[in-house]
Amino acid sequence: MSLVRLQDIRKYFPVKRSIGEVLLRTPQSFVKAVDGISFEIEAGETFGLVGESGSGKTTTGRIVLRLIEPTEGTIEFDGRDITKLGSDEMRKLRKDMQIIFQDPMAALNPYMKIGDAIKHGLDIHNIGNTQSERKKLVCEMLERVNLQADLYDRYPHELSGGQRQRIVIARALILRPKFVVADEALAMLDVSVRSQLLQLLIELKKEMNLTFLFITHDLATTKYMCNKIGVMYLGKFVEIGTYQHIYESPMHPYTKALISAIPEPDPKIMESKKRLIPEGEVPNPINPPSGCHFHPRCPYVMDICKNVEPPLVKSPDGRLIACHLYTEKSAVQQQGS
Amino acid sequence: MTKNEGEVVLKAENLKIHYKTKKSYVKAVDGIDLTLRKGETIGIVGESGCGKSTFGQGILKLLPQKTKYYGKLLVRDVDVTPLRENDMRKVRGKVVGMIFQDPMTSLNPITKVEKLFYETLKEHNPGISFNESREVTAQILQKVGIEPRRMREYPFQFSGGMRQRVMIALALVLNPDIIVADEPTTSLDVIVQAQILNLLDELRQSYNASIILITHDLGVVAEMADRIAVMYAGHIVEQNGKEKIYYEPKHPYTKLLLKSIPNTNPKDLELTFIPGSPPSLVNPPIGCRFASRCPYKMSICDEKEPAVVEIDGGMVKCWLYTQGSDKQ
Repeated sequence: MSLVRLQDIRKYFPVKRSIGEVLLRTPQSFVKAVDGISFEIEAGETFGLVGESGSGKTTTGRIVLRLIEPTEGTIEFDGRDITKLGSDEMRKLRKDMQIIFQDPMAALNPYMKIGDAIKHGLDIHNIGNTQSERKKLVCEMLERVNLQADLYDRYPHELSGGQRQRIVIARALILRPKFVVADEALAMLDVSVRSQLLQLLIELKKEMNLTFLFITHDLATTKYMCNKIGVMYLGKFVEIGTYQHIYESPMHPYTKALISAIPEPDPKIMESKKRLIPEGEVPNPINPPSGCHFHPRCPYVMDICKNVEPPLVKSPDGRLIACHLYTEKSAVQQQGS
Repeated sequence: MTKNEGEVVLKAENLKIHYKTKKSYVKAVDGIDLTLRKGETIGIVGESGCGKSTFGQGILKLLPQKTKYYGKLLVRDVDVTPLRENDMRKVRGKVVGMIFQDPMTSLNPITKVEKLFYETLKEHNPGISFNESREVTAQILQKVGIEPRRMREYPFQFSGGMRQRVMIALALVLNPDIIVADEPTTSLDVIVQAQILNLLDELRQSYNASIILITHDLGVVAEMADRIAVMYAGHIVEQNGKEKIYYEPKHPYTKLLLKSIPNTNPKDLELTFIPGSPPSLVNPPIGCRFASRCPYKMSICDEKEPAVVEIDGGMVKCWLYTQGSDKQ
């Protein structure tokens, strides 16, 4: 059963107009951060969201938790439509849905003892009868994330980056949530520390039967965590598939570019590797290109791509793809002739 | 491709850089030897806090004033360690150019790009007029793939990748012999990163400059570097050609670091990491600094610091390869 289901989610952020523009009645323009995406996450599975900066991954992650209100679309959690839930009810629900942020120094209150920061959620949701019972739970959680329980009385600045991120993980998981959004949770860490924490997340996921939305720009880490990966470009999915689909046989030209751009440490593979680096940069999301958003940078661009937006359709191997190269051949030929 | 010929443009001899914190000195670079030749790229890799950025900034003496330098650091035959600020200004930009990680914090946001270039050019060429400077700027911007008319804009009007291109152009405008690139692509997305790495490689060839590339990403190093120096806790623990480092690593730290890179092979789902964390550099351990995390630790490793040994065309600093000790 799917635990989380998003349907046709859109989020348009209004662009601030200058006083002159307001007086001249220039129409309001919007940044289309998320532009019509749907996906679901099965209970116990991990869905990876990858893409470059500005592709809308973080906005999507926040919408799922309703930290940002979507402009359009519905969010279902555990079989229940939560799109219009009031703040009191949402607060109760937040026990089941947590988030791990990218920057632990910004996510932790520098004036709050580490133990108190983790305990905060227990206090809010009234878990544990006495303070000493709550403290005990916190200490257990600290040990579970491989930290010493005597860190309880320390402050965040006394810890290393890796330790801080463990604290953020402990704080998110102490409420025994069902669902966790990890937003670039490992991005700021060193290679070795990153692997340590990835291992920890994998263990905790099994132990607590967690469902994850794993947002990252580092494609290599998705292999270890994700059952499914969605590739985003300018607020839309271009391809959704398993790790094998995305890595071994990427179909969408953008996915191909993304995979081929990963630096390769093996000198021999590197020399033989074909590079498909598109020129230019991600276009402005206020006025995204017509048709397929990727068409101005796509090496396989056809006429149809400039005008018609490709739908996200199921390909024979089970993945979803939005590209005219793979839509019905007849349609493409018609357009080409 | 280890180049053993070619003019030496930079040479560190037992270089130590200790910088001051509130209470004590951090021995961030603690006795390293490195030789950079004309046209060569050396990649310096290691975890955070191993001293790689301190070394990079030390070459230009960009560290706080109370920083102490010991040993020698020859930049084109001039030892820069005793040089004062005024003399260093002649080296910066002209002999050694620097590319920083975050172009937003290193480019003045309220100065137009054309002015940034003018200031740099004027520093080393006081007679230059603003118009002459703009001509030079137009040429160099073209080379890094930016339309020259954009020189009238401010850095904040550029995207991250474009800002990094401005930074590269600024580092190259005085045609320096050496470029220090400190995590030049870390804050960039993977496609933009590939574009910038391609650009750096093209420019290196056309300018025949030597590059010191500092990064924690072994993939980035492998794409660019001829030689790789692996740093750990203020020391260079291994140094060799890129192929040797990748296919025949010697030092246990190098081996573990290579294993901990996530590869893209879908069948290989094992995660490897180095347990523990690097030691504090205020009071580093007496023996080998990697000993506490090393799977091959011997009793001598805790007692004495290993010497640097030449091996297989490179060098390694490990008791396993020192004569007289038990071979692996």
